[in-house]
Amino acid sequence: MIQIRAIVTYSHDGRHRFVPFEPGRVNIISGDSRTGKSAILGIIEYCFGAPEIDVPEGKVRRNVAWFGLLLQTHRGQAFVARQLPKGDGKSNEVVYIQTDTEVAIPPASALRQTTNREGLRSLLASWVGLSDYLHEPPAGHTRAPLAATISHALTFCLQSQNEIAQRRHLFHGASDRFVAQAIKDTLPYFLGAVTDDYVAQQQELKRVRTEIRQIERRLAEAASIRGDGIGRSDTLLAEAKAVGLTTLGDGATWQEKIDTLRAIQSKPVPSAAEEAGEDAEFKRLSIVRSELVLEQRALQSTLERARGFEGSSKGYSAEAREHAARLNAVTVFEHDTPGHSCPLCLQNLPEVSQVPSIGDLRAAQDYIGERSGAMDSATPRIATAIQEVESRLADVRRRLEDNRALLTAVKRTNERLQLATDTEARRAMVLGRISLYVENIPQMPDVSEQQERLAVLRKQETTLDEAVSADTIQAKMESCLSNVNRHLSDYAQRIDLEYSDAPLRLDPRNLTIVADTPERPVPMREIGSGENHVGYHIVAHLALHTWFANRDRPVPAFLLLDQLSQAHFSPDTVPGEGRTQEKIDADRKAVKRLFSLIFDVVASLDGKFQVIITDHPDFSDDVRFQKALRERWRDGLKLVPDDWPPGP
Amino acid sequence: MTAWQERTIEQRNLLNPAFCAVAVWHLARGYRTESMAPANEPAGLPLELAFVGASLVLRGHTRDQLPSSVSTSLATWVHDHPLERSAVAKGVIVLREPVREALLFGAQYGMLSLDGRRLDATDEHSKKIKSYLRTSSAEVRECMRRAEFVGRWLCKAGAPPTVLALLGVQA
Repeated sequence: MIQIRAIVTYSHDGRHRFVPFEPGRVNIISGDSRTGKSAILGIIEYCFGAPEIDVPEGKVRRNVAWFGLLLQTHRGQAFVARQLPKGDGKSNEVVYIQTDTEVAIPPASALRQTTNREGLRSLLASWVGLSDYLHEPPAGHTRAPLAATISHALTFCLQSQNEIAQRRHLFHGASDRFVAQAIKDTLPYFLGAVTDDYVAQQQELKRVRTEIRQIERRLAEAASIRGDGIGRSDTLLAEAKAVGLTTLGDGATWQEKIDTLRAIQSKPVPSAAEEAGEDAEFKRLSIVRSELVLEQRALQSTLERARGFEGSSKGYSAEAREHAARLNAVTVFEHDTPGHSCPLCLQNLPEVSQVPSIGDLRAAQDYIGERSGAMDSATPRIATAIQEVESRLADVRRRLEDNRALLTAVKRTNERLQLATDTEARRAMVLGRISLYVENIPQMPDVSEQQERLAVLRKQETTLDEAVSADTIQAKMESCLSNVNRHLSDYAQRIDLEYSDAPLRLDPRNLTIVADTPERPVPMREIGSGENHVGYHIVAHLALHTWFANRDRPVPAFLLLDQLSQAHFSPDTVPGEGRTQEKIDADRKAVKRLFSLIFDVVASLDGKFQVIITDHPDFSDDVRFQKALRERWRDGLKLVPDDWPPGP
Repeated sequence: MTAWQERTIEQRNLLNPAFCAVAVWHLARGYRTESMAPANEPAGLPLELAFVGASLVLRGHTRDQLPSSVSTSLATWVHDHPLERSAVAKGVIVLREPVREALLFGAQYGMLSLDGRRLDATDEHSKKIKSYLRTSSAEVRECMRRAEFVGRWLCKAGAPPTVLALLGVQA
């Protein structure tokens, strides 16, 4: 929630002037033309981080150095000020911000840059309670996704003097095609048809869909592995039987076959030589060989462990070095004696002070020093040890080579052994192929669990899809709008607008008001008379803000109406020129009705909504009007005093 | 604060009061430098910002994400790093005791002086600090360089309540 407590202008020579407003009430500034009334809208827009300044050329533009706003937020107060563009520039990034539970308007000397336009906009968005809403245009549209920003929210809070009587455009800035499109895109969010977790739900939906695709892929994979897996495993089993590695029957299930293959793979190969008969030398050599292989394995694992340790100990000594470097900060304080009373509260310190002494720090430093020294010296020793192990390993490898040469020689002299080695080779080959196959089967996923997960995900997808689908939003939008329309018709009847006997509705597609007469729907642009247009603009904005305020929507809770009586009369109207006294009286009544409606609506919202009106008339006979009058800009009183010098 | 002997080795060494005091000294220096810029009225570092500054500087991950110049405003940085905001707020709580102790330690040895609710860095230790940094590790030097920067940056960001509100820290 954001409401305005004051509008402040700062001169180039260090003076400032502020116009106070009351939050939650109607605030009226009544004044003659050319006193700066219409500049207020530009000031508010500029201080809300508009990309370009929109204040007409003149004293307000030239004799003011900074525009400021004192804002009331739900957490306290905030003062924001933005420097005017230098020279003929359009924009300026220099922004000053101050927040607290209560903020006094700072003097000109305190203003400096504390943030920029982007920072200002993100702060305002957080104060007003904007969440990340991203409008994704429907498929087939080329426009980029649009995130709701504070500028979009501010659209609903402003009506300039040329807009308030427009028959074609209802909203501020809507004469620009792109602005109008942005209003249409963000309206569902501001009305609350799109929940605040809409974006989160969209993301979640994307995530769920990806996971569903993954699981489906996995299930398909599992099915295909089974399909041709059975063929492969059968041929491998047949080969294994041929070389006498297994005796599994053909009627086994796929899982059993796989288990058998795994078992074959993990069993040590029975030496064919044993079956082939006794041969002392060959056996001896085989035994030597397996011993050597064992030794080789042991050495390799030692080597890995040692290398790993060396790496980690290097890391530790680096860590210890950082400890030592930070402890060395104590050198800054050495040879100073500490005071005996606490420097912060000047009380005498107890004997055993809680603050560690230099001695404590020194001790820690020495300890770290010792340990890192020990570690540093250990590292080279590890290096030597590793070298030793490496040389032993090389030695074992050489002995294995010799052993293999001997074995081959023995085998060659022995036909039976030759035969055995053939079997062994074939076995080894089959075993190798089995290994390759078994290793490449992905661990068969437990399909039932996956399928359960899939069912859960599909349910989730449906609910999320419903939550973010266009139809759902459309339905919610209609429900929000029907509430807004109820207020719209009610307010229109109270000020006796033309067509207020027919149901009125806000048309979100064309951003206008439509009266559904029995004959045909009549849009605002076809309804005649400027008075009607002003009336429709006001009831539409009041109806929207009633909804925003009651639902705590992220829209600043104020409405600025610039010169709403323009279509009726000007204060110096005299009878004549086709203006009869009756017409003037009727106009007066109509304007008073408008004001009275605004007072009633603001009162009914009980502080949740603020209206600021800048206008000519000054109804001296109306108590509520006089109470709401903050300043009268007449007889030389203006927004910017005449004696302020123009800027450089 | 738990007694010195009861802390873990990491707490004891990496966040020792001498080191933290030197970091706060740099924060205060940076703050004073920046406060001289507009009005030539040097201002001391507000007490609460010593804690916020320490939290921004002493957490390596946050330190690496800090902007390169003070012209990037705090509000913009928070806007661009939504995750860091909570980390900084948590850091303030975690570092409360070491920083408080560092303030006492620094003040006892006359390196920091307290004036009302503001801290000032005295000049008498600057030589020793320079020579300590020369022989120290790269990480320590980086901490101190960033501390000076954060001091300036926080000064530029406005009054302490504004800074605390930006970072979502309760005073």
